[in-house]
Amino acid sequence: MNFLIGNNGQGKTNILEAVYYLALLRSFRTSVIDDLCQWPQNSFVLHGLLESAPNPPETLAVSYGSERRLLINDAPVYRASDFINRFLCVTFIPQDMDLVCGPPAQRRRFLDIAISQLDAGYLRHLQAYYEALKSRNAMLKAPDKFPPATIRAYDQVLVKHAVAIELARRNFAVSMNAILVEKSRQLFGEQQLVILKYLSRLGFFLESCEGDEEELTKAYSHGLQHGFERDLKSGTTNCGPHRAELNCLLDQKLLHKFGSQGEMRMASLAMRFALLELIRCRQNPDDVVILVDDVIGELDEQRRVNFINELSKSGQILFACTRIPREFTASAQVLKIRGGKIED
Amino acid sequence: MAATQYPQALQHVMSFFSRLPGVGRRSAERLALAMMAWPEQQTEQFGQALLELKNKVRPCAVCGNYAEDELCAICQDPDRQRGVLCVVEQASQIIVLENSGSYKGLYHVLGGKLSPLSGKGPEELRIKELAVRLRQGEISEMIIATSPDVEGEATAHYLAQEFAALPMTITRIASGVPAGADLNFADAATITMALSGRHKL
Repeated sequence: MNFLIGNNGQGKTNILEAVYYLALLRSFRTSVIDDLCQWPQNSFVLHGLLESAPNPPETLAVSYGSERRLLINDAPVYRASDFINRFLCVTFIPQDMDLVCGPPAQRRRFLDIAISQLDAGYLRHLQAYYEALKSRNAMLKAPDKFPPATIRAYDQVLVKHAVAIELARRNFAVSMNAILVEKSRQLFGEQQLVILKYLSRLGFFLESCEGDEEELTKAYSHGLQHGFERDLKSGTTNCGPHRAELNCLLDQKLLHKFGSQGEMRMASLAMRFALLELIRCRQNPDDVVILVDDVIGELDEQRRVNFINELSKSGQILFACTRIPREFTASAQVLKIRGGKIED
Repeated sequence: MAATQYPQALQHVMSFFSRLPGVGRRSAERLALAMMAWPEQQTEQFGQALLELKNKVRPCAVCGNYAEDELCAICQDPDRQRGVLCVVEQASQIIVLENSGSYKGLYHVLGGKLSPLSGKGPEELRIKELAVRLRQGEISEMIIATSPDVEGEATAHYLAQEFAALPMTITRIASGVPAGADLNFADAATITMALSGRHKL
């Protein structure tokens, strides 16, 4: 456990962001690369040393100027996919609240990033799906040029990838829920239960379909056919995994409608813990770096204790806050952050 | 003072080279300068060869392959199996299939694949010509050899459903681990395809 202690605006989150960037080559804060550079520069350099026994230590470096350069042990790496996930990074950040109450697109993004961390093939299906979807929408907008038969041909490709995505997401929700049973008891304390509900948003075609591949394929094709006239009118595809929804329920109540701030925060933390557990089941448990950025403000005292207890079971933690929480009693390394630097 | 430039004629050649795929401004410059050093006879022959390219090579009237006559060498060959037809995207892919030596049937060049994002629909492909050939009833099997990406797959599905009513077998080439290659070097996507296309021994 490492605390990063400092006043507002001293650069605590900046350090967390740098670690996150080394793991995933993206930021949790922004997707605009220029926003990551120190003003008024237009480039940045990151270095990291990765120590994970029994593997030999590894250095990671990224520089971003006119182009991005990636180095592993000082040797250049050309594919981002060879660089990403050299170590796994799980975050507990203020933005996590969006997992529960943010726009659906953000929750799908959580699903997609999480599943691709667990299953490398998922990303390929996702890319192919979106390519087919874009093509289909382009055809819907130009019906004179593309007769329905061409759209039906694309549908077959679309459905194949949609079903793969659908199955992976459903399985993910099932595994998450299995873990959430225990996590919600530990975090909420009382007999409360957080569960995730993955909704395909294909209405009556899919909700009733309990998901063997063949049935799903049938249901999807049917759904696309049924919605064809409507799709043609709106010039866009109205059903499929790109419209799916991930709902978070606390004791059968929809959290984003009926939950309090504290409950939503706690549920989002429970989801992060569950994901952490899932990743750990598949990899060396010590390989995970956990980034925590002041997320306990909204929690009551008992839940803070629960959160910190749960967190303390983990490997390497970087915890940014203005002062060490009272509820934390074990020993930890404390790093003081001031003016963008770590003070001794 | 204005920057010194190459003489007009040299620039002209460079601008043509830079239109070729994979040739940038610098490469075009190198190519043109290298040609400056050629003996005059050779440049003449090159010019002649370029002229002949369009005069002598044209698409085969039946299959779309490169041809020197009305019909290409394959369509003219009496020893080819007339009952099997292999559909490819580009004429250049026929050479690749021919080099395998394991296919003795006929070909049909589509001239691309369905690509809605770049505005390419069925009208832009040689599908009408394909329909004419198939309706003559000589073909008993159509092998679809479009590429295994999203657009190639969609094109394959399109052809399959367009011609499903005809009395012939429609097949799709397999995709997976390259022959003679080590499984260690195959990427995840290839392995997935190979596994889903496995067959019983």
